[in-house]
Amino acid sequence: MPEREDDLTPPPNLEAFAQQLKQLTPQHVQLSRDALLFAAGQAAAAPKTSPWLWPSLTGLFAAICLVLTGFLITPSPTPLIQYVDRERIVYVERSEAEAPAVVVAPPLSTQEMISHEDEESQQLAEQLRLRREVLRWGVDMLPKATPPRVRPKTVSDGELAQWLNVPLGMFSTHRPITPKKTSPKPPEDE
Amino acid sequence: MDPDHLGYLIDRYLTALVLYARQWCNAPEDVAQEAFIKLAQQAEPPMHPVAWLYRVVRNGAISQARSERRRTNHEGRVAADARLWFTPSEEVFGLDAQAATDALQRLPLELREIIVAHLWGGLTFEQIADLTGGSSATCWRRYAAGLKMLRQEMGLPCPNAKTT
Repeated sequence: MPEREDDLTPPPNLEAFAQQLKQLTPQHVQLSRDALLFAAGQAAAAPKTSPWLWPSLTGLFAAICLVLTGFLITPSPTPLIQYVDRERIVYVERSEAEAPAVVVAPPLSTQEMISHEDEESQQLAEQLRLRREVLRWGVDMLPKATPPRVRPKTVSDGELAQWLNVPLGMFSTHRPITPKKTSPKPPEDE
Repeated sequence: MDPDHLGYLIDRYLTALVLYARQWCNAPEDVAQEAFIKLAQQAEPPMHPVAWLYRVVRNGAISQARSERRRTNHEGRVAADARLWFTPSEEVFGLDAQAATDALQRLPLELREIIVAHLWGGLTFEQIADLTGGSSATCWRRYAAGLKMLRQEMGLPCPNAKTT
């Protein structure tokens, strides 16, 4: 056994025999070198993907196409129209004495709904007519709008003191303004 | 892999690989051919292609031997064993190819494969140890023991033996 593992030479008495054995040539192989190289090149150029990948993908997409075509050909059923009464919520101005109440109006009947829609359509037609008139004749044709008359509100001293959070009576007292007395001019030295 | 390099490997190692595969199976040419084709298919060539080829040939030959064992009969096995492993030498003092074949066939497999891989494949003991699954020191011991047994089988005298 050698001391080091990389010093693995056979014992000297076997070295000559090993060399003699090495002189023996292995039997010739019945393989064509060119054929082997050709087969190796063919294998190297072959695609790496598995052979069933593309056929299975093609089949899958064909099946999807068939299903979608079936959906396209099949006539769709006529849509069912169903009328449903809807609840109308009416908000009533509350009075001081009463608690806020929401009155739920009874559901509109079909006749009421039709009349309500008629009113809306009439308003819409009126708006459209007015817009057409304005576009045609200009804004001068519109009636003059009278601004609402607003009465100016007077603020009392008490309210002002309350807003500013100052003691009462601050703005009610008037201190008479006394004119400043001018000192007499000293006589000029002549 | 570069075609020139592949061609060089085929020229240099094909017969040695066939001889190596012959330790296990009766169709070693097919195993060696498959190994070269697999090498060409590698996207990234192995660092040591010769050691890689020996590993693939060994695995392929063992696997083929299993399937051969199921279907071949005794006569077929005897005919395969009778085939010569070496070309008869034209040298006067060379070893007899038939005697060497017979002696190698009688060696235990674990000794024989190390001798074949080292002498005709040129693998180092470390590479053989990777191949067979052991340490390089064990491979060396088996190699020396195999050579001794082979020499005795072939009836060659030991050069250092004392004659009385």
